[in-house]
Amino acid sequence: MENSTHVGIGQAKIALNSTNLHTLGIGSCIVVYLFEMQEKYVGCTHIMLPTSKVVSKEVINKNKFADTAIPHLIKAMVLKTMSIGKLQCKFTGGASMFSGDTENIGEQNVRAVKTVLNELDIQVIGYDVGGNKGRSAFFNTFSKELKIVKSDEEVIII
Amino acid sequence: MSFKDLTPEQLDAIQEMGNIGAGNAVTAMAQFFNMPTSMEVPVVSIKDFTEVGNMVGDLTQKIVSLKFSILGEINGYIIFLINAQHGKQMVKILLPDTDKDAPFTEMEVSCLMEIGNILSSSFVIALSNLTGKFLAISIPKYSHDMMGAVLDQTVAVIAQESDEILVFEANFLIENERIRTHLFLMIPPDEVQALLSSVGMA
Repeated sequence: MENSTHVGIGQAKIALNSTNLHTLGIGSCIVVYLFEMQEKYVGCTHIMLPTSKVVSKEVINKNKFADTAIPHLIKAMVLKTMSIGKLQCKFTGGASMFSGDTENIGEQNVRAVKTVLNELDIQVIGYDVGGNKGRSAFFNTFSKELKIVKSDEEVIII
Repeated sequence: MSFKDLTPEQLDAIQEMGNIGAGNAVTAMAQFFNMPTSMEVPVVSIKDFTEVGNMVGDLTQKIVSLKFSILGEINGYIIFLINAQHGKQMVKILLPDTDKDAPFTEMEVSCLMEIGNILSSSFVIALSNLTGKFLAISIPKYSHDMMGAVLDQTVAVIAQESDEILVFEANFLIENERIRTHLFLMIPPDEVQALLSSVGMA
């Protein structure tokens, strides 16, 4: 993982200058990558929960919720790159880690992320979500290739 | 409330609750296994939710984990972690036919759940006796997967309203330290207030 930055839970990062991005041990969380194919920057946010609307207090860490994290990331990307065209997206995560778990936050997260991306008119070009295995994700900023390694060693490239 | 407002005395009170809970749990374990059992001094800390992943080390390491919801007047979670090899050794004490190298069988998983049950409920019973609050635990949920992946959902739920989490950490050592298990008890800030007021420390 030379020249690669870890995007942990509740964090958002923007990669420039061919720094790659990775996240290890993703369960019900969702890691979203926003980019333009021809450009060298990639924004990444590690979402934990579907919606901030259930929270009574003011949301301090916007990266936690799908509905606040994605607009927040786009804003940060616009600031950093000065201009932004038509964004594309890849994402992964949203597993259900515990058998018999009725909360199923992973599934809710997937639905919320899809809704938010749709509302913001961002084109999704690939995703791998759900199931009951943990994942690690490795994003190549140059080729925009997302490599996902699951806990049973299955490898998916999107 | 925020954890930043806690006084040193309040933190001491929380630490003491952790000690009593863990002490009760280790006693239950010793009686259950009838073997030399000990624990390391429990650690109570307040963590930003983004740090919770760091406290376990390698996020991709595969780990056996049992998750219990704490129900009743205080809400939270207990997560019981044990690496697969140690889990097998622990099960073998009760089920001598356990094959160390095979995946966990249904019987072995249910055996682990029972051990987790004893540990978690004795922890929570001690907490309940101390605070006079009605507390119970859910049935365990089992997962054998990457450390980061089994923790993230629990952290998400607790960190929903606040960026900080109260974490009790206790290590239990069974059979002369040959088997190590790890227990996390996580509580959101609003619930800590209830714990403190029950012992007159709010």
